[in-house]
Amino acid sequence: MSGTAAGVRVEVAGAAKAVDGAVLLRPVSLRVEPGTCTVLRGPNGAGKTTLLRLVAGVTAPTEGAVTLDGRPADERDPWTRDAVAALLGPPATYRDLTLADHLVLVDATWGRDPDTCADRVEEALARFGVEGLADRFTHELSSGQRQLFHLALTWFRPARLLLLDEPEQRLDDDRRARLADLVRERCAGGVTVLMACHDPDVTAAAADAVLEVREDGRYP
Amino acid sequence: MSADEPPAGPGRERLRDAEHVLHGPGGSGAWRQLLYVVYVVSILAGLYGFTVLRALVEVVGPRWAADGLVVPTRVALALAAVAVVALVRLAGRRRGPVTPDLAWVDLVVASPVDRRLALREAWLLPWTGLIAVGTVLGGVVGAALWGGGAAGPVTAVVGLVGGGGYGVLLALVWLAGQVAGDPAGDRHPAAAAPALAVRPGRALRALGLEGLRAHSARSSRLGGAVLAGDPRALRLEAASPVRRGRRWRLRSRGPVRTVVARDVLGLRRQPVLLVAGGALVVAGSSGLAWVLAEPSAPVLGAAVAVLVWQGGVGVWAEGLRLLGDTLGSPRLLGGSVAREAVAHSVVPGGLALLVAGATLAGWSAVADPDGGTVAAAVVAVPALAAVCLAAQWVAAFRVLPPELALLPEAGPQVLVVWLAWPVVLAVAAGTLAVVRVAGVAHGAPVVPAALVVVVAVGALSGLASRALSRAAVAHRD
Repeated sequence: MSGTAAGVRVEVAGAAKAVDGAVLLRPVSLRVEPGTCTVLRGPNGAGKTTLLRLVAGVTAPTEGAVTLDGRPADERDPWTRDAVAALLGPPATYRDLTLADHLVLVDATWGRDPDTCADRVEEALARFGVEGLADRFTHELSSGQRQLFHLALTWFRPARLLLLDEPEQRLDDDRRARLADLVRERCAGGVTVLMACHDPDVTAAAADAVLEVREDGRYP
Repeated sequence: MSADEPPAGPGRERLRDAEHVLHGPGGSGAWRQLLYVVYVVSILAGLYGFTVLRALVEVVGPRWAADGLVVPTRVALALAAVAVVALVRLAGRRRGPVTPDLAWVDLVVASPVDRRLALREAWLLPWTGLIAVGTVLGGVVGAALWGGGAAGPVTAVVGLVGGGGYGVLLALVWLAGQVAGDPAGDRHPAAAAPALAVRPGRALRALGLEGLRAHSARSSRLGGAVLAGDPRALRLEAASPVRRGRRWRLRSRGPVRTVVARDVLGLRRQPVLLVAGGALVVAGSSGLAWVLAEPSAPVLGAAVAVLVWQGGVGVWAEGLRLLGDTLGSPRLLGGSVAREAVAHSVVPGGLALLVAGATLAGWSAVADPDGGTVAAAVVAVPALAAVCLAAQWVAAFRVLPPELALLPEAGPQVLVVWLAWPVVLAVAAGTLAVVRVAGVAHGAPVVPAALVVVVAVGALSGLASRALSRAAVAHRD
């Protein structure tokens, strides 16, 4: 979305997550300044997705703390929900709505002007190159198109912190480059971005900082 | 199984070899499993079904006969039987009777072996199962009618034969649905599906690989969803993909009205849901009218009316279930979950009031009931709508099944109770409310009845609100 937003400052202080003795994330610390993009890298199973879920506040750390602008990250808190847009897996979509309908619904529930809704929807779909699919239902998309639609949905809602888990998945080279541009554009608008990414080109183009999440929890 | 063409000898040998390779000398065990299912159904039907049904016939049969309820009951049962046939036909398009393992589809059905032979066992299993279960259940019903003194011994024989015949009909209609929905079915127009199904051999040859793979995979996923207690996965697998009305656009009308418009658009794109829900609410409202007008109407009649009502409202409440699906994932929509849930309740609640109101108004114009009965109907309809909506909330916003459901000893029973819980709540609270309101129409004091209705509706609403609150935070461990 156009315009500027006051990005969220993310602070992760020794946060770790374990479930029934299984360690999902060893203690990690991280600070992401407003309007910057930090990319999480690391081997499969290192805990990148878990770290993103902690920052999104959809799960709580078993030790340490995660704060957003000094407040505990907790999805139950309306403040967190207002601030954080996240793509941490396929969002639950409506099987009886087309792509354009989904965006209209998101637009309306955030209280935007109904008179200009159609323009915003068209622009949002065009931003990810799926404007020609506006009248498709979600089950009619290829896996790459579905990923682009999920990105468009996540981008469409207002946010001050954007969390993305491997957003480059299933995208071709051109779309990956476009994704990196859009991340930079979002940061330039003031939004904080934290994402896990395995693509070195996207990382190089989008990241202000890179954190290697380590399986052994040993950080320099 | 009709013998349209003589089976090829080498084909049978190849199938035996494939069976041996895949399952060893013991075979797949599918027939043993079927035998066990029929055994369990027979035991349960004989021990509990027969006992309860015979007692019911003995106790209420003479009264129903005196009140002239036997013929309406027969008509209702006949209509239900026809509805089941129609539903089975529809179900066949999504999950037909012929669903061999994926490995069998890919390795054997895809080979040059005669497809009729390759699919023979996969078809004979459900065919035999339906005939066996139909025979047992028909026999139990016939025997209960005989034992309860409502009919002679011939009824038991008629029940056995009729049940078996109904099983055959269901199996063939189910197969017809699968043939009609097969992606390779261009060569066999849907209209030919029933004729094909009467000759199963030809029908099996008409099934394409792609359709068989889809049905087989879906069958596995449906089974997994049932075992895991995952109503969302169950619903998504069972539902047909929406393709209608893609040019109809959702318009932004503000936060609440857009959500309501979303639900309306969903029903326009799936008119079968609109019609099915309407038919159920009309049927339930007709039952309600009868219960309110007839002092002799049994409590069972009120319970059935509420059950049918609940089914109709449930068909219209897709929006609530979709909201339930999104809980636990990062929010895309603005505003509170409670506001969204209330907005999603507008369409099912409004339609229920509208359709039930129209049905009862029509009944009122025809039957000309007294003022007390009309007043009872005016109270009963909104009370029932509130009860059914609250139960829909409980169903849409339930979280994971209890851990007991994962234990092999008690798992299936716990899962069944967990899945049926919202319906049980609706039927219990709704029946209580309807019976009390009907009592007032027939001269019972108003205040105790009003208290019961308020408590029933209030208690269920409280449970619904609690279910939403729990579901909204349940994911955060």
